Amino acid sequence: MLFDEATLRKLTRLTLIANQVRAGRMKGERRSSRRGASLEFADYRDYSPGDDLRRLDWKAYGRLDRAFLKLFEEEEDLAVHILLDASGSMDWGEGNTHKFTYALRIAGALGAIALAEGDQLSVRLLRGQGADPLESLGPLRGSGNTLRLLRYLEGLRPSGETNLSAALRSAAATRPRPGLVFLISDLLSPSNFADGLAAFLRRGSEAAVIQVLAPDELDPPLAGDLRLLDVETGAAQEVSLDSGARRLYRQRLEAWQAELQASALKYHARWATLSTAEPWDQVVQASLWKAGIVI
Amino acid sequence: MEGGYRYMSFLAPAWLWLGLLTVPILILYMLRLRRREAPVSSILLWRLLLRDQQANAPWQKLERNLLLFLQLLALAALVLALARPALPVPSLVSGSVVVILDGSASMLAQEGREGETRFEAAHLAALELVSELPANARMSLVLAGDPPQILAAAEGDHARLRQALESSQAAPVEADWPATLALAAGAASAPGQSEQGIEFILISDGGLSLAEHAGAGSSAPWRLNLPGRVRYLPVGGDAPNLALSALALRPAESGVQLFTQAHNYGPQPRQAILAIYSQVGEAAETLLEARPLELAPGAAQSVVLEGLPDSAARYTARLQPPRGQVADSFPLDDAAYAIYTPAQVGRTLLVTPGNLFLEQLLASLEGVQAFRLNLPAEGALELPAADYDLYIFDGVAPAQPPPAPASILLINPPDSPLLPVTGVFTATQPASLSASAMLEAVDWSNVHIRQARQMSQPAWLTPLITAPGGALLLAGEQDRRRMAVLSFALQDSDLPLQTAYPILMANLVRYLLPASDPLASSSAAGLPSSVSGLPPGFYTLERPDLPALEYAVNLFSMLESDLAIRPEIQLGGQSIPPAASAETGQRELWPWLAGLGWLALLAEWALYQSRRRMISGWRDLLPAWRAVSR
Repeated sequence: MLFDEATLRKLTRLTLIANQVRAGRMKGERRSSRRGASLEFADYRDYSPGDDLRRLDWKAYGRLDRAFLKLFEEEEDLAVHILLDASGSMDWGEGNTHKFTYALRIAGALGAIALAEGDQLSVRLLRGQGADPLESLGPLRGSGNTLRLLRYLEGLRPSGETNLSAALRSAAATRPRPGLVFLISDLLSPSNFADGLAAFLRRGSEAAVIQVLAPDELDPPLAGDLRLLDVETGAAQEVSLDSGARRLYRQRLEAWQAELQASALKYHARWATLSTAEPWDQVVQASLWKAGIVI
Repeated sequence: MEGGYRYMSFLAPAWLWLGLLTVPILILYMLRLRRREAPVSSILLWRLLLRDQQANAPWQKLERNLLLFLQLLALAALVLALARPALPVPSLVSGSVVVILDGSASMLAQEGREGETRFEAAHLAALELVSELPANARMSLVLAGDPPQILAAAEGDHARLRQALESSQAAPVEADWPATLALAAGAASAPGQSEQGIEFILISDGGLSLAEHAGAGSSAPWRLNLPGRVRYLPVGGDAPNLALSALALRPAESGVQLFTQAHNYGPQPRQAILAIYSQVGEAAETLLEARPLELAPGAAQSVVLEGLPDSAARYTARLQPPRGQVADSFPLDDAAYAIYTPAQVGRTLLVTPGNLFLEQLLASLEGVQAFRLNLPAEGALELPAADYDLYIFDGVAPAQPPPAPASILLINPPDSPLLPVTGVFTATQPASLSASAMLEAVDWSNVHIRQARQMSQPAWLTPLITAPGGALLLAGEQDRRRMAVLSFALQDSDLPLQTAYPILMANLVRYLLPASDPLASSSAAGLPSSVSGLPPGFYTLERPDLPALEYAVNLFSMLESDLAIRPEIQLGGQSIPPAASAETGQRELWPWLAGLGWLALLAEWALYQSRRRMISGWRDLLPAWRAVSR
């Protein structure tokens, strides 16, 4: 399992933040100015503190001794798209610091939150030149699909070479419903991800870019005369490393991240850089909250 | 200058072949640089980094290959050093050379601002010549002095030449230039010194021109000449100098007379105060006279003091600058020293059957008190108990020699243990005279001798006058006793009738009674030559079992006191002007290149060690990374 029951419960208390996307077609729980416009019942969900007590199903409470909240058809929902980079470079690290596992947990957490919110969730895998429809999930709606989501994610493996920009364009070409787009990737691609992301945003979506990097990518413990082998492309690069070169690498990394962040901000996308050395559940509750991605 | 000499040349170009060692170094470097493979998630960032590095500066590219660069630099520098590159430089030296360094007294003149002497300037000039000495050329160093010295003979090692120069010093003596130049000519033919094209460089204040002129008029004329090209490197400037050129004492009827003379060798009139002191024993000096002198350029002024006491005393004359003026730059000749010792009467015992010539002569000699001992008619000769300074045995010989150190003069001696006689010879013509002070001014050409005794003389007796049949006059010293032997009877010759007779006898008596010579210890020429080179002053010569002898040493030398710089010197009948650096010498660059090579090697080693430490440090710190990289 990507995470346990207790973690899942903690996650479902969070809410994904969308500032601009409001074009809901289905029932949902998104706080909206149009909330309660329809009286047609659609679904239940568990009560959580802060919910409107007027929408509590008192009959069910009396019968089952559990508090359920009634959800109505016309209530605003949100389309949530999780775009997951499954390139070979994500297959890096060991155990809890493995980048793709870490990315899956982040994707699972965000997806679980979305499903708990009653949002429409779809997950697309970015691999090769595009998003493989066979490796997509959704759209799903309702917390009952959480287990399906998690099983789907557990079955994924990173491999191959990915052109991130082309893959994003390919995903946008399927004319997905405008909504909240999460791009989870190490962004280690020669192409500029921002071009592909723009294709999504032109359709009225709102984006958050979550960059996942391993600790030895942030500060590589390398020294001497080396022949570096790219695990994604198989390409090689000869370098002679000393303390000065490592310092330059860190400077170059920071500059590169600043460039990527600037590209993201150009499209009003939120930005978060995560190190797989940080505990992922705390990251969701702290770093993503800090980045304004969840609340 | 030929065009080809304008550029750097290699003196040992064959070593440049060692430059081919670059190839194995490059091969080894490439082999050593087999890189370790390390997987990374993406090389994207590394490529960005390398792009930045290449864009930044070629230096960073160089830094990556710094080890190789340092190795190649060390190799290039060491190979070039072995090939001995040399740059042409203007120089006095273009080949093998004999450098004559003037070490005479005038070179001790202090002319520099800090009191540097001319010799120090000459020393620097010689060091400069050493540094300009071309490769494969050799240098001999001769120090002109009395006696001259060879400091280095046909030496090519610059360090040894510098060391030889460091050990050289000028002495307060007049240089013996004939001996110096003979030594220099000998050094030119030393083993290893090529005689072809050898040059002589004379570093001097030019004082030897006068010496040549002085020598030309003397009885033994000599000309300064050297077997090669001579160049003159003058040192020093025109230094004014006031000198004492004489101080002498002699007994006179009115008492002891002192004569001293001051000389102005400078181009300007000079004033000075001449002070004359006397000192008796260990008492303090007493000022006898202080007289102001005013000397025109080149002029001399004498001062004579009469009526001095006829007793032993030391006399000192000093030239002092008038109040407000400084002393000249050559203090060695500003003082003169003399010792007066009253003539001692030599008690002389004449043992003779009767010899009018001898008795009259002894009576006429100053400082001799003669006594006559009549020979006994029978029995052995017994000498009186009283001590005598000189015993003269005429036709007789003592059974036992008188006690030392009394001197002995034997005339026509019979056979005795003192001097065995083997026979008589009549071949007394022609006689040959050796060079001796006892034969000074003795004209032997008209002396005729009927016969003389043939003796088996001991080795310590030196024949002074030798005839075909045997020695006529012998002299020598043994066990502190001086002895002279005339091997013929005065009556058997016409010597007493010749002018040579009183001169010879006076010379013999002076030799046999040295204490009777009133001027014997007042030396103007200095101490015996074996201890020459002492600065002017009083000296005591202490000898075992003999009374100490006092000497006065002075620098009475016009040649050394005249400090005027000579614009040119006369040598071999030619005028030699000061030399200019017209030749092309070679300055070798190999010491600099060798130093650079060693520095490069040192830097390469330090860099290699620091990189190794850094890599091993990272490996120790991050064992996890090793597991990953495996």
